[in-house]
Amino acid sequence: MDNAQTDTILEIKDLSVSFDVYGSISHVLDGVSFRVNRGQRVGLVGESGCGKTTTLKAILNVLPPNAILNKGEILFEGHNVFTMVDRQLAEMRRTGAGMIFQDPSSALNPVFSIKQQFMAALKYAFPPNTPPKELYEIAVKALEDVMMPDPERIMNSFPYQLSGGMRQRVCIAMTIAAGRKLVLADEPGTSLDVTIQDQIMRLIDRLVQENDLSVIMVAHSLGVIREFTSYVNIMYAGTLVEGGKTRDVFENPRHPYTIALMACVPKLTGEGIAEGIPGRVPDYTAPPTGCRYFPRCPYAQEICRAKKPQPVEIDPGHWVSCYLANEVS
Amino acid sequence: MTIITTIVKRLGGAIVVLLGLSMIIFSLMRIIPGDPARLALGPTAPEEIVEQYRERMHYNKPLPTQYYYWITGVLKGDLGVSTVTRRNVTRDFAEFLPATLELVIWAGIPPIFFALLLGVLGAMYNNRWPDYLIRFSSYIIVATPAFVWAVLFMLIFGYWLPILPSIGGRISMKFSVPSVTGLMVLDALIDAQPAAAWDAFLHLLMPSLALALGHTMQEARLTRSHMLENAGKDYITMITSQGVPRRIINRRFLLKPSVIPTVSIMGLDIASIFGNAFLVETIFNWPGISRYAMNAILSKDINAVCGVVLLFGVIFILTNLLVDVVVIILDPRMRQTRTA
Amino acid sequence: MKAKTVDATTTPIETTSTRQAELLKRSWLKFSESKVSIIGLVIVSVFLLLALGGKYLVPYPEHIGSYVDFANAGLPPSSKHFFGTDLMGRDVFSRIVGSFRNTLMMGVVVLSIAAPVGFMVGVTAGYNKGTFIDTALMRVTDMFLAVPPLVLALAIASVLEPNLTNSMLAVTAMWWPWYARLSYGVTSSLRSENYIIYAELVGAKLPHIIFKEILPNCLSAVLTKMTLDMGYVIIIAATISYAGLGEQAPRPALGSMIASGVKYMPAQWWLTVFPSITIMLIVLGFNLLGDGISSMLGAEEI
Repeated sequence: MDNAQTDTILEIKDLSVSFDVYGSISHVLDGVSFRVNRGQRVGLVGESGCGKTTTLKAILNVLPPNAILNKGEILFEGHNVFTMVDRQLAEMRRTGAGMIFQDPSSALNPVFSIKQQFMAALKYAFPPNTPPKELYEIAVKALEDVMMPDPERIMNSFPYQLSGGMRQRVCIAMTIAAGRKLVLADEPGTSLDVTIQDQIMRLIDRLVQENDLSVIMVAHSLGVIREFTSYVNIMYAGTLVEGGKTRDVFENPRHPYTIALMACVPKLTGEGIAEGIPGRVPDYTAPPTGCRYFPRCPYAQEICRAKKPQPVEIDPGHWVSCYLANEVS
Repeated sequence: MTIITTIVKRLGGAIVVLLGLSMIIFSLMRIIPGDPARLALGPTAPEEIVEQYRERMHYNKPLPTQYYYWITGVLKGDLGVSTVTRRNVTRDFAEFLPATLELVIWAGIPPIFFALLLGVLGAMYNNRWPDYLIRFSSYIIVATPAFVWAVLFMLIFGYWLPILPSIGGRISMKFSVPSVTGLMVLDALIDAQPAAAWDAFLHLLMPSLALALGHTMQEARLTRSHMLENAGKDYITMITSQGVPRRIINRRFLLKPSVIPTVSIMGLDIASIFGNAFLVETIFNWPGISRYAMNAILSKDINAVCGVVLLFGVIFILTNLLVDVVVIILDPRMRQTRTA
Repeated sequence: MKAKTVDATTTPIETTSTRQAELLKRSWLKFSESKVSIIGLVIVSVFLLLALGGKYLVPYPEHIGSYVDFANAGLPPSSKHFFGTDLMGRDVFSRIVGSFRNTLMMGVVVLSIAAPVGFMVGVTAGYNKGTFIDTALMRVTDMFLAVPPLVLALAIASVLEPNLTNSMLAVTAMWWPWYARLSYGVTSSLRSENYIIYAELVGAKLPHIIFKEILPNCLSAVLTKMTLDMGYVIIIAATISYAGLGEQAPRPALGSMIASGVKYMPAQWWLTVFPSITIMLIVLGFNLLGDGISSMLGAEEI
């Protein structure tokens, strides 16, 4: 794991993305940079609407048409996804990286059977002369892998006939079946019941282990991240504020936002209800200048408003984008 | 199985609707000021004949009794005698309905494919010139009533550049085509008269185009907007992120969900074609049921009007049923057994 | 390091007025996102102006009624008569503008009766979903929807004396079921919403539930449909008038002007072409405006 160059599967460099919403520009992502090594599990944490899903969609270059790439690049195995030709991009999506969506009820096409959708996805991920029979068996095998009872019946079902948990299993099977190397999991349990959520997380955990996959796990649940990832990036309003080994960040959070986020977790020890963070995620059409967190930050200073803080490494592998990185704790 | 259940359920509801409709239109036609027997026979008829007629038609009985006699006749296929043609309305239908069906089929079915094509093109070239062209023309076309198109076509293609027959009718006098199906173009082909078929087709062109334009562009607009709306859905992003080629996604995974809402409103479009046929048939001298109905309405021909309204009700319900069946076939969600 | 709060002036404080201004600006942006909505607004404004003040703006106001000038009959368009003259020698342009008031009245009267009536029927049925009232009301609605609208309107108009008022009545009679359907759909989906159930639980009166809880939820759908329907009502009205069942001569109506012009095609083409184009422009204006309003209110395209 020392040779970062050969072991990096994904590298995001200074990614800035805006959206054109009825003529006004929302500046969502601002200078997001991080890296995923082969076999590594990276967490991406933040409140709803802070740009986590946008980051994942950017990796697969499936941003909606009103998205504008201002600057930055995303290197998947050394190739920039924004400059790939169609064939390379398709190749990357088929066998490189795949995404598990937050809401499985909208991620499957309502008017096609699971079989039709699964087979279409597999058809292009395998060599063109692969017989359909073989593809069908791969799909059934993948459904068995995600602990689906009676995969043959599932294949002939339509999404509306399946429960939320089953739909999510189908999506996971579709993402894993073709042998992708990097899985982008966008809050895969959030829209499901707590018990189902737990099953889905265990399932992903097992599949990642068995197939030696790299993962970016997006969540706003810190418990999931703590248990599941080895490295974590904390995102606030389209910017990364802190990153490091999961244990370091959880044990020694240094950014005021990370600290506040940790304080929000309800404690089972009975210390009362969590505080919450006053204020809300800023309006992206006119984001705060400088550090995007300063309007909510109890420690804000003049410089925080004037200039965006650069990441500072405070411990080996643990960095913070805050002027007070060495003072707050 | 579910399709059959749906059909049975709908037909059950349809009978109630048709009975109600027959009552509405029957009472409506009886509140016409004046004596219906006198209206039917004209002012010169001697009083005793009018009295006889009144007796025979039960006009001297209370309204529910009159309705009872009328509706039992209708159920036996006897719609009563038209005061204009002096024949049984059922016979008039047999004569005039095929012409209208031919017109409505031409105006209703082939344009659907153009509508879908234009809708898909508009969505694929969103905010580029083909899209602007389609949208611009659809706004103009939808805003123009069918009878205005009929009049303008007549002026332009019938008189100014006389490339299409301006007299109207279904076919030129010089041809004589034996009726088999009642559809003139088809009958001419069956009778091996290609020249007559071509002539009949030319006669069809203007009226069917006048009837087709509005709903075609409306459907094209609807298809386009659903394509664009669905293009942003998660399931399209999902299948794109799986590496399925763009053209396959557009042609299959985006087209089908986007077409279903368009198909489901086509029953209403058929109704508007029938409605608009009233004036278009009159303008083009098309010997169809709508022109017949228009004359019946203007001359207050009670039995004919009641019969036509019921006939339109039946046609409308049947086409809607057909549309529902197509939607059930296309959209698996519709097969869901509904919990009441 | 001591915690320090930021000066209040650095964080933008949202007042109600700036919020409303922002909302208004956002609405306008949504409305004008498609430039054609503005064209629609312009056309409709001109139409309204001419409909209300047409009598004082046209070159020959006396031509709007019965007026005969055979010396100037059947003249083609010229600088004196923009759209030519008809066979009575009346200025076609003045007559077209003169018909706008009735066209506007038709749309306004029909919709302002049909929408509330349909709304009440739909809400009553939807609120009593599953009961006899629901079945009865919606079956009657279906009966009206089971015939092509124009057929029913023509049948009704023919029974009554042919004039403007009765043609309005006929169109209204066929229009309310659409609003019944629309508000029925919204109401029956709202029926199981918690805030409606809550309102019932705390003992809110029925009028309160209908007008304070359900109406606001139907409003955007109904308003959108009303603006889009304006064009359709004008089309249907013109069609009825073309059939001779609307406003009677000598008063002008777009449909009847075309109907009488058809007899003189192709020689006096201007008698048909200009009223035709006028209908198209008016309906176009209302449709474009309706689309703009519907995208502003965020309702689905109907």
